[in-house]
Amino acid sequence: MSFPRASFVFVGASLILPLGAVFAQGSAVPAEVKSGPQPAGAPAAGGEASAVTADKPAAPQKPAVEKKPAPEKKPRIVKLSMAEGLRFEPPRFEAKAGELLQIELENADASHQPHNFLIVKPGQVQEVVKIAMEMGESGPNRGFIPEHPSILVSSGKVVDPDGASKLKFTVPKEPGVYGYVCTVPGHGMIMYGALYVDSPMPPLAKDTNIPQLTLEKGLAGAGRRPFVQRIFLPKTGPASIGVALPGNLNYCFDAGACRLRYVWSGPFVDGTRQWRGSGKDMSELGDEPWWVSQSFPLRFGGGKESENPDVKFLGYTLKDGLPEFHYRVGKQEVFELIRPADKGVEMCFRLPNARRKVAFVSDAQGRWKSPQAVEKKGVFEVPAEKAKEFSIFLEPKDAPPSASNAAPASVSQVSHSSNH
Amino acid sequence: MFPRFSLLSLSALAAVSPLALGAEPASASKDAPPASASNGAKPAIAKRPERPAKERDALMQRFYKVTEVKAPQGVDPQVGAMSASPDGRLAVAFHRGEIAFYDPASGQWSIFAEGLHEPLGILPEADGSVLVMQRPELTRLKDSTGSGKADTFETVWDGFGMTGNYHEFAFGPVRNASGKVFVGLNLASSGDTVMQEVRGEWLKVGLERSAFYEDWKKNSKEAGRMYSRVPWRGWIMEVDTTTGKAKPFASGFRSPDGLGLDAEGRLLVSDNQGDWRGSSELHVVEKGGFYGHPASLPWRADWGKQAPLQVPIAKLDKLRTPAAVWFPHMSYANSPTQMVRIPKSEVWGPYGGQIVIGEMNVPKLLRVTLEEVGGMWQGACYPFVEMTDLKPGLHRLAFLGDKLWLGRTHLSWAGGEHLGVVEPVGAAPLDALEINLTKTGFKVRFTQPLDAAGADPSKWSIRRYTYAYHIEYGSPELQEAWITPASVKLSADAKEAELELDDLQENFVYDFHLDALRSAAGEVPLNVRAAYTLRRKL
Repeated sequence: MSFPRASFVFVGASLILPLGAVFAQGSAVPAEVKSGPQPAGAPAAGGEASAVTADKPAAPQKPAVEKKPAPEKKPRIVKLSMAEGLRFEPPRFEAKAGELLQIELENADASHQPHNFLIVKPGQVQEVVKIAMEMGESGPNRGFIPEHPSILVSSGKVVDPDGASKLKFTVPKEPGVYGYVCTVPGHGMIMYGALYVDSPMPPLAKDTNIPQLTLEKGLAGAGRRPFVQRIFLPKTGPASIGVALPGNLNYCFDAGACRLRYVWSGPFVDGTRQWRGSGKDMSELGDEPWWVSQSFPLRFGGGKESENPDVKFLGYTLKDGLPEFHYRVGKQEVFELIRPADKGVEMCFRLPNARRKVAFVSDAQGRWKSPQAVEKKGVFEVPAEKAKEFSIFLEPKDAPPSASNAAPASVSQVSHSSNH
Repeated sequence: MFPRFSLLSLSALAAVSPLALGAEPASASKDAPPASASNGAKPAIAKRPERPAKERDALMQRFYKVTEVKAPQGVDPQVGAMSASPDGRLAVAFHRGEIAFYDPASGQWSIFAEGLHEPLGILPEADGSVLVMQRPELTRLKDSTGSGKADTFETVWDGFGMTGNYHEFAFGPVRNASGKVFVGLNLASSGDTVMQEVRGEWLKVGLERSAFYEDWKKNSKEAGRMYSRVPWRGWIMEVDTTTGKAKPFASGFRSPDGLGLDAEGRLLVSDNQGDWRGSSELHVVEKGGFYGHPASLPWRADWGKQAPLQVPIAKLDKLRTPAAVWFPHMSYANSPTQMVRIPKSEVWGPYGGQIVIGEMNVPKLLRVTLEEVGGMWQGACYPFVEMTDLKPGLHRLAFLGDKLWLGRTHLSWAGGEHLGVVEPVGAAPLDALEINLTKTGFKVRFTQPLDAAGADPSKWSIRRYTYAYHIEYGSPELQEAWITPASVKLSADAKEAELELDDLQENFVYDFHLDALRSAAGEVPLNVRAAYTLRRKL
């Protein structure tokens, strides 16, 4: 069985051109890069395709309509990308009845899978997917393109990863929502799109002719606040947690390093790219962070310990939807809840077994204060008797000074950076 | 599961076949012993016709029914994990991190938690808490207020490394009688490099970390197609969920997506065709074992300074325990998934107690039987339910009573979405129930008596072949030959056939083609194939 399969890899070879070559050619299509041979029974690309349009069973075909095919009508170019996450990009497009199209396929799937392309009659996508799945061992040699009267045109073969293919297609004269699909096994349930022929296009979010995943924007929590999302986040450790706070702020907590990593304003994490694939693409933050942590901030031994202490993440508890993180620094148990405060955030620390003074090392990026601490050169010292529960406030430097806290014990706009 | 290059592997095959067919790697390997393929080998191996899918579907529909259940509204409908909860509901984890319960009585979903990181394992506990294996950790979710939603997320174990490479999936947990749970940690893929920050100690042997940030196209070759640069990648770990302490249990895995237990509590792990995996495999995993993929080896306490890819293949071959069962690539499975045990019930009849396993690329479930021969685990796989209605992507399986729930995913590879439920309708079909090795051949037990022609050796066709153990992605079928049994004897009840074979070789697959057999009632077999992996002769 291996050998027929091996040959299948190369079946698309004749379709492959360097991308530059394909896209530089514009509408001038050399004959040899038109779609590959059509499976028997399926109409060929071009003019014939329009002869098989309606699925009305008894509709007589009207060759008369075809009597004056414009000999060198310039096709309209439609570019379709086969994208990672089993998607066609765009997931839908419009065309006029009878219009000549040149469909330029590009297999840009970063997960390196071959795909094929078929345009089928309205409502026939899943039927054709099913027929393709039943091709058995003949599938690979035929590019998983079955014979079926619903198929109007196809790529003929699979388009290999990084390959491209072009095909000409005369849009059927019958208005309707035609489908396009990749019938490589396991792809067709998800990888399809809609061709609107003289038919009204519903708003994207309400389009039932395209896959659900395409409809969904990947904003974590869909805009709900507060919301906690664990996902690969940029510029932090791989085990990080994104938190959307009520209001407009968001932060990243690194469960590996057990510390707040950065804070940003605006939209939360957009996971669209990461979630539509297998996790390779990074998620995106709604904005650049306005504060980024430089090192572990807490000191329990008078400021002489390591900037990278031995930490152990123990989990979190949701309090009104906000996570209170639980971790150990050496033997010191720490609870940390971060909540919105006026212009910035308040880090609420609980150290139930604290017996000595605690220091919090701030930096020059933000404006800091703490009602319980005494600030000295950017280091906030919390006396032992207050160390069981204290808060550190952080605001962006450019924010107008906060007036919310009536009795700020010490406010500091730190200008040193000695602790970096 | 998670094959990467699942179809591209074909080009790998094309590229390696001259080497793989040669004597050199073959002679060094348990999987490809020296050729002595004189018995029945024909110059060209003829294929037997497949049963057309339409005919197969029609036949399957006489015995099985599939119904669809949609994922909750607004949730990415890819199932990462699924398990029956002690309270009778189905616990499901979805791609973007939702944990939801489905109540079959009301047909309602309720969301228990959100925002976890690619959860691929779930184990609901009797106390109402739920263990979830997500990318960064094994977590215990608790609802401390009775609100129906988790509010406490306790990190049970996160003592393994993460490079941020997308292929470092984490699987499990399954709990055996000892109370400990097992989890499986994927290798990273050379399809991508590592993040600037990693969690865990960087492996001291092999490629240095700086190389991962330079010319990756070039350096990835040295890293290996699948690599383990931080602790316990490629390992099965045993975790005490009370103390949060973990112990390395077994090494040599590539992508151990399916963890399960047999009736005696033995750990079963499935792995995917790829580098060092000639075809997809099922392993019976024992403490301290090494199961073939070398990337994980340097994390062994007794390992020296040798980079795993520098170890001679013969040495690796000696170290490893080969798969108990091969799933022949393409014809049986491309990407096998989770294993669960079929309930012993009237509905499942003769299959009760056997293992069923899912498959990603085609709409198929397989069964597995195992036996120990001379201290070596081996056994057979059987196509079980194969019908278009199942849809591909059968990633997670769980029995709720007699209903087998199927959770689908794709993660941008071949697969599907949402859930399905399969249940038998009517009496058991004619099927090969179990194949066992005998001193002179095989004993094949059927669900129904065969007709008298079942004793005619010409009604039996067996193709045997092996796979190479090598660094390349997958292996062609090597040293293949068709075999007709020397004799076939039927038992008194005609349900068991005893086959004598002149050709019986260790480390070969014996792929039975059963299409010419008929039941005493004149029925055709529902499935026409069964493949026994012979590791050790009696």
